[in-house]
Amino acid sequence: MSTPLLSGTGIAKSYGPTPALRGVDIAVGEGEIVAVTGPSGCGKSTLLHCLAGILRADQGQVEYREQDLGLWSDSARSRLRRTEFGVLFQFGQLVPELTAAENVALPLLLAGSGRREAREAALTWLDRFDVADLADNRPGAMSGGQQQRCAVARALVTEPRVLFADEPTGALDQLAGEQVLDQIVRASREQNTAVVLVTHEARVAAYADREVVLRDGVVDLTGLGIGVDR
Amino acid sequence: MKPATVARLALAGSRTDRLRLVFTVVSSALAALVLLAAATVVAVPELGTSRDGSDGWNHYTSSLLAEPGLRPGVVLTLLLLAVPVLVLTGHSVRFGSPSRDRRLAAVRLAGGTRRQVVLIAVTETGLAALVGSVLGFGVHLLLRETLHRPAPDGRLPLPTDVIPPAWMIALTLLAVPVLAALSAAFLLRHVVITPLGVLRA
Repeated sequence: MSTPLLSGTGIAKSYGPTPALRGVDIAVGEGEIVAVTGPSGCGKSTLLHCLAGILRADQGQVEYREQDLGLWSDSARSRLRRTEFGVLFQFGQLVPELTAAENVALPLLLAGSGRREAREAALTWLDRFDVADLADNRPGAMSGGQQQRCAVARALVTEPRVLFADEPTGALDQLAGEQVLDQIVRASREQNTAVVLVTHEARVAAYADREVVLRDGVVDLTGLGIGVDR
Repeated sequence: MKPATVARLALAGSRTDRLRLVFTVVSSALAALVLLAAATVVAVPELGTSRDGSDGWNHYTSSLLAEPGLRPGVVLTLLLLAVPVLVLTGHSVRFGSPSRDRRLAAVRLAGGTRRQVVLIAVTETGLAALVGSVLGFGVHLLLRETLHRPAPDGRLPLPTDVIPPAWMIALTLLAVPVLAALSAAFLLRHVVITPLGVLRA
């Protein structure tokens, strides 16, 4: 691989005395979809949080475009999340009191866009994910699949270079999950967006170009899926 | 972030956020009442007019109001009384509710900086305190009418015959939300709002 877009080297992170990551190396190229898999508690989500700049690693380096994110301020890493990075969680990332359009427009509004301009962009993305008719509905009035499609639209509305998805289909039934994954892959291919996809499900990992398996906070070098190109 | 966005996110609370808003409104109304009382005492003229038409002490039953030398003490006492009430108003920002915490964490996840989410939380307090301040002014006018009970000799128990100048009223009504917001911002320095949730020290 040429110089990766995003890389982690020797990432270690502990919660009190409990180590979550113990020296993980990972690299993600432009437009590449990398699945991070492994059993519950192996450190997948912590790795994603470190790579996305949500958590600071205790040791090691996270580099984005060859810049060490560990040296960036909290504000600079926040700005990255509304410009270059998109973040998608299993649930809980939509604001219940805002409409679908307002939720999708949120990163643009935080960046200083006007409401009309941000709403237009949000409607375009909601339309891409076939939920434009729900633009004025609040999350509570939508199904889990519809909410997650709105969340994907929000993560992609800024046309990020990297999308971080943490168990994005964990709360969905199989059909809704497949629809969401199809849309993530389609958007990634169209915009050349790299995706870091955390999952414990093999069928979800199958959407990725490459798979990295974690076990007990380290990359499982004995696993069958390590660095396998699909 | 544009002011309209800040206001929208600040006022996007759910039903569970109302208790905090009611608390902020009530405590800021109380603070406005105390500060308006202080402004009223400040506005009492140095000397009043005696019943025979000559200059003399004001016609109040209490010497604390009638004697000009004692009034600064009354004003200071009222101002000191307002301080804990204003701090109480600011404290309301620390009363989290799961929905507010979720909202602020979601804003952080979407790329909001710590400064932006603090601004949202402080704006919520400031706007609620502004409503409380106006409410306090209404109660002040009501009490002014209700408590205007001159004794048979014409003397008054309270300075209900005095209205502070308009600029002083405006300053008082604006001071409450501004001080409540500043107090809230100060208190939020111990609250860590991350994309993963809100932690209180």
